[in-house]
Amino acid sequence: MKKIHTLLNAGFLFLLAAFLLGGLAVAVLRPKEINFYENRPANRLHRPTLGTFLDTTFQDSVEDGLSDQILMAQTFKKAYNDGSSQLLLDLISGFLESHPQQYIYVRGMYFFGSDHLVYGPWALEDADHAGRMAQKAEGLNRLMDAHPDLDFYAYYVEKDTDINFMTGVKAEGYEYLRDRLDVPKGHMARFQIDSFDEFRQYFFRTDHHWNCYGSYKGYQEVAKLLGVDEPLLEPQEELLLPYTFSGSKTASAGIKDVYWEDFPVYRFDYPEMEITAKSGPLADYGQLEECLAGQLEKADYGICYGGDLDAVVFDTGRKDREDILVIGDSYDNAILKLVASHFHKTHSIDLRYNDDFSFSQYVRENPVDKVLFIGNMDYYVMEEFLPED
Amino acid sequence: MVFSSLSFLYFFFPVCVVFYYLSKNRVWRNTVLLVASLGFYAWGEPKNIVLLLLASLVAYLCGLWMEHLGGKGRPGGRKAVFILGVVLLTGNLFVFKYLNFFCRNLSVFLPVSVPDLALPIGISFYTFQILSYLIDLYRGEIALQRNYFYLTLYVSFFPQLIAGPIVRYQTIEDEILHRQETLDDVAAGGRRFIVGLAKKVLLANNVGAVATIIFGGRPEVYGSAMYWVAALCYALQIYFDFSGYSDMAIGLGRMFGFHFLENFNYPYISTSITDFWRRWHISLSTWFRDYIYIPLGGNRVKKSRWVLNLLVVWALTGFWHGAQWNFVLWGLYYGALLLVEKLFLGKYLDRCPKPVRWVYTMFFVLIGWVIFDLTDFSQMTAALRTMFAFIPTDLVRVIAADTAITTGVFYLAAGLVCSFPVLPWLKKKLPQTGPVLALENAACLGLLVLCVIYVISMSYNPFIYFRF
Repeated sequence: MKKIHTLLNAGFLFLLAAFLLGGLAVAVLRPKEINFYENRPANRLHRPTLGTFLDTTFQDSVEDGLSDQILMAQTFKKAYNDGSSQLLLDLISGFLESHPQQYIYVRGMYFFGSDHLVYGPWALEDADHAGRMAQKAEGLNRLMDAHPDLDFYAYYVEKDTDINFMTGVKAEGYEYLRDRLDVPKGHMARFQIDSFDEFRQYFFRTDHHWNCYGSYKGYQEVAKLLGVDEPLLEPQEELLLPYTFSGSKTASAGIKDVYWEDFPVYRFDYPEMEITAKSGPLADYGQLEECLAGQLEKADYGICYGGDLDAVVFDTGRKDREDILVIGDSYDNAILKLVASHFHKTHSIDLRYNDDFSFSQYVRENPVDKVLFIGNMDYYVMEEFLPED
Repeated sequence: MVFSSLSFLYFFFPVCVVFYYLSKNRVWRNTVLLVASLGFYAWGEPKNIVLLLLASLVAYLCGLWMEHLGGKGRPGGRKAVFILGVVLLTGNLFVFKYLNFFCRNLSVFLPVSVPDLALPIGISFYTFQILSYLIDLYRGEIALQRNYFYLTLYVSFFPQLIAGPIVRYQTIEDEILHRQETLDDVAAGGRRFIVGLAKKVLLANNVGAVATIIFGGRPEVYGSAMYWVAALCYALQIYFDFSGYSDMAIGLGRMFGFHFLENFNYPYISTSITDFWRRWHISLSTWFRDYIYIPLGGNRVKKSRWVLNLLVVWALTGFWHGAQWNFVLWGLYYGALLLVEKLFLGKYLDRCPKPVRWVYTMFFVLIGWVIFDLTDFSQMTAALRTMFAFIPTDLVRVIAADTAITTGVFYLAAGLVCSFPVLPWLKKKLPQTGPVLALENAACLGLLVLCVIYVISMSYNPFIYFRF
């Protein structure tokens, strides 16, 4: 009996040592370059120096490195996250269905209407949104004053942050901005959301962007705002991408890939246009056709409609038309080609990726007739979206 | 470094064990342990290691001096050196742990600035260990340790360095030089370590999250019932957190041939507050009993003096846990409860059925944990008021406020089961045969893998007892 116990104990210690030392050996001898699960470069173990040891940055880097590099680290992480997320969703699914008119908090996000992931409602007083929006308006007013030769327009995209779906009370960010922004009458409009039913219709369930119905409505309103007097593009057909889609909100809630939705798209017959990014000519902006053909590993809003490029120019070659500069956030991605169909050149700028952007210089080098500011509440609050003159 | 970090599990622990068992003799093995222990401490607090070495040096030099004076027949001088050592060590603890607190309180009345000193990890634990060495040496209960490195090994030995248990020198005096490591001991230590790790990673962190959600929320959302649930969750969190750490410390010690005393004995089956304190943090309560309460006269004094002694000891016990008023209140709360039990309630309690005594004990223990957990007095009083205000609980609002509470229920159920002596009962029932041991080993390895999965995936991983 004693011998069997000794053998079993020896076996236990051998397996324990193999598990821990094996994990360490893999981390040291065969480090991975990329953490595919989290879609980023993998943390690696670094050599210590006296300085990094004393300020404990070396120690922190070892912990980070091991969490990416030990044997099966990414498999473990995925198994835990998927398992715990699925368990949570299974536990609350009945509750979600029976309480559709209630905000239900899930790891930093809310469910509303049983199946829609939404942000909680904001108020202008929160995080000094009002003050920041007033500053932004002042900045835009200065810019407009400095360029009286240009026509400026503003389009505000209301979304879930702009309304409390339970009470119907709105943040009134649009009204606050309208009262402070000196655009000519009729040069400002909004994508209006007054109820959850409207929101459900026009926005993804798992992503913060508008869906094809929302973006098409946005295009119609923007075209009207800009005074487009020709027929608008009509969708040729409505299709579903052959992918399941887990948007940004599922990532925030840690339920990516276990909570998903369909991704409907419209197909349009766009006029011929040359599309040029800073890096050179593009075959297309967005990969809608590849997505529809199922040729890509995954599909999301940015992949399908076009990502947040620092600068991109759409040229229809129609010199009889006006030129426009669109300064926006990712909401404009889905409508850029639609809007560009009605202009000669459409310049799109995303200020988050243009640290040294100078408005004056840009319009001097790329003459335009109209300028459109387009974005959601974040866009009209965050300083990084304010163009420097 | 904490035991539940990947740096410890995958790097420090296996490398230390390998070097230890590759070393030929006791001197080399002790050297490996000393270097590893200093490295372990320096990993988290590179600069404060000087403080630890100096505290150890003070005890070492005072010990030598006391021996020298004792040999020359100068008990007065010996006593003076002893007092000097105690003053230096407690002074060190006072400066780094309590000076901010005193200055902050004084600054209300006087123009005193708060020095804002950072609390060195484990200072309360290692100071109490060193004090026990000095006091026991003064009392003649242990022999002088003439080797500074061995004394430093005792003080800094990594399994118990930063969160206890408070190991007295006499417990491991012989084992520093004359211990025997056996394969069975190493395996048993490994299993104990894994069980402790599982308590910490699987149970403490997850039930603790429920308490954090509720105590951090608005009382009107959760109502009285959920505040009691939160108190229960915190009670389980602190138990599994601290007893888990003690299990890991005891297990690691055993892997290197040391046998520490138990620090917990299923405190939540206690049937009185007196019983609770015989089962909770045993090394601390016996330390205060032997080094403060009994020297003050214990219960062999006038009743009024005895009452004072008891309250002083419990105020100090509370204060040891942290430089905040709520800890003092928590200590006095237990002092008062023990007084009431000893003065008159005890004899009535003895006549009550066990379940009644258990409910009585848990009721006061849960309230105690609310006082302990919520350092902010307004939050604490709001929580206590909510617990007793009979505010109805609307479960729909509770779940809607944070759905994470639903998964917490699983961990709460598991925690409740594991806080009772189910495993020892099971072990007693099952014969110690090969298949049973094989099953135990497999279960431990499975638990280890599960813990690693949790550790990799969770960033929230602190030990509560680190701050003491």
